[in-house]
Amino acid sequence: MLKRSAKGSYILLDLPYEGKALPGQFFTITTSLGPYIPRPFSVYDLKDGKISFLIKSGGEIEKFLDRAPVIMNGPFGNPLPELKDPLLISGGVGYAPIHFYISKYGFGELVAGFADEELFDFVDIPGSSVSVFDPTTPIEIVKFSTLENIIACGPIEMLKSVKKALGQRSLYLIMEEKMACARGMCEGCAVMTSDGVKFVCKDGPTFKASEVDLEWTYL
Amino acid sequence: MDLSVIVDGVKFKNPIVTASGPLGFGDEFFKYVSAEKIGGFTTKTVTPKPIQGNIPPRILYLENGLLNSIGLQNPGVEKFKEIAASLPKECVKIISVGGERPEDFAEVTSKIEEFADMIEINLSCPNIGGKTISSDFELTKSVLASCREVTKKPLIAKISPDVDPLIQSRIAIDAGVKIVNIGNSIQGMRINLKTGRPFLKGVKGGLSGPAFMPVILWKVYQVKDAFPDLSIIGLGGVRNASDIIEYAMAGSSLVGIGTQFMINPSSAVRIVDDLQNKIDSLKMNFADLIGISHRGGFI
Ligand SMILES: Cc1cc2nc3c(=O)[nH]c(=O)nc-3n(C[C@H](O)[C@H](O)[C@H](O)COP(=O)(O)OP(=O)(O)OC[C@H]3O[C@@H](n4cnc5c(N)ncnc54)[C@H](O)[C@@H]3O)c2cc1C
Ligand SMILES: Cc1cc2nc3c(=O)[nH]c(=O)nc-3n(C[C@H](O)[C@H](O)[C@H](O)COP(=O)(O)O)c2cc1C
Ligand code: FES
Repeated sequence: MLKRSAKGSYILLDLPYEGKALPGQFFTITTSLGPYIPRPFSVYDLKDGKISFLIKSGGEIEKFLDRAPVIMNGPFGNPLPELKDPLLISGGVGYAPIHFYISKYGFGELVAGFADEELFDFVDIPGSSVSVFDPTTPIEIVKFSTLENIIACGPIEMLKSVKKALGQRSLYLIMEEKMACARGMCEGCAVMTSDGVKFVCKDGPTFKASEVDLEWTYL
Repeated sequence: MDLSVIVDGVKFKNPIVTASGPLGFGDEFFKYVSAEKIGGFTTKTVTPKPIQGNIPPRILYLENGLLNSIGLQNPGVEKFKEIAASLPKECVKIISVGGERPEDFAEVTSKIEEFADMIEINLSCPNIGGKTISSDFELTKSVLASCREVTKKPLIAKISPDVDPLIQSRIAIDAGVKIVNIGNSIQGMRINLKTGRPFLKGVKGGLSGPAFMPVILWKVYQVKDAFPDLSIIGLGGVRNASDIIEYAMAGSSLVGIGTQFMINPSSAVRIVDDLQNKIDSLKMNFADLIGISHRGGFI
């Protein structure tokens, strides 16, 4: 089943699924009509025989999603670590894995930033959390948190700011790179770490902030 | 009917070989597909020293394919030798060698030849620094000669679709090479509309996938026409058994598959089974299809 947000900026895709998946893991999704290269999406939710994905509209896959049967493969990648009372920080659709994490393990504090306000009405955000529209504000807010364990997911610029502000703590980042194989074969989804080049699909998508070089990208 | 083919004295149980690169060294791929199913496996290109590869993004999605800019990331020949011994024996083992200078190619070739049934010389990577080796004919000649000197194993010249395939094939033949792989990914680029800059740091990448199959098919056709005795690996954009048959008809003895196996490794099983069914219904052995379009088709 496919649900669109009011102005159509976001899509929630529900699919029947009886298998397993843990927060932080992702699936590749395409349809029988295309796109030719399946795209990676984090699990947003998994319950009652149903798996959900939160997808930003405007890309190629959107054209096919309500026209053809979806083909899904996974789960891929390593699960997020289960942390004690973590501070969770998300930007945009980076909220997807964070949402699944909360539903499974709970959280200490959540700061969710969205440039596009309609995501607030569309996704289910816990009451005690802080949600902000201005993409720069979440960083200002999280600076006041005293929590030691942190997970962040969102655009690279946000991850850079979070690392700058909170990099001394136990900070985990969920990284994103374009993927072709999603299985550690093609060397497509490279990130630079203190231990050399690693791959988001096989070694990630979660990395310790202290170990990744966020400047090693041409974005 | 029979799917097997003999190329430069080496028997392949079927004409399907993997492309160098998209499947790395095979450890993950062979979790999905038994080596008994495919004709041959080609390793990622190996160079004398380790190569770190390019700054991401390394992949760009296109409507019917992708641009890659991996930059030949590999662990270097010494480390590769530890892996080489465990390449599966149930299919033909093709090791892809690379480098910048003829000495580099000779070094890697001599170090890996004991592990290989065939050696593929990568003359055409679009993702390293300046020009491809293929675009420099004198260099191409010296690279092929230096490899020929250090091994008696069958050699494959992997040529570039960005350079005249007839000249490249002529050079290969003159160097005593009996197989050409046509070919590597073709150069292309995309520009980010939001920033006005190229998406890739190296500006260009290599286009692979169904989008460019007609381009490669035409090059295979031309080369077969000009050099009927040269064996050809047709490689570019194959998605299914029908595409393989098309490549055979154009003149390919073997057909390579990269992107399709990368996005769906287990599709190899279906593709081989479909190919068997297709030649059974044609009532022809695969070998009889090779180059049939040059002989007036089915008559
Ligand atoms: C582990 C992982 C998890 C992920 N989880 C999610 C998730 O939960 N939700 C989510 O939405 N995404 C997620 N992504 C990102 C997602 O995989 C990519 O954004 C993917 O490309 C989306 O596919 P698409 O077909 O929607 O868009 P694509 O067609 O791939 O396009 C991607 C974006 O690029 C833009 N674009 C295309 N061409 C150009 C051009 N020439 N110039 C400028 N812009 C252009 C499109 O408008 C679009 O916004 C994840 C990625 C990874 C690696
Ligand atoms: C991710 C990726 C990595 C590649 N790496 C290599 C390589 O190391 N050596 C090489 O000769 N070709 C390499 N290629 C090119 C392929 O071997 C092949 O020529 C090309 O992808 C066209 O075939 P396809 O359309 O079936 O993928 C690579 C291609 C891709 C997509
Ligand atoms: S997508 Fe191929 S290595 Fe990660």
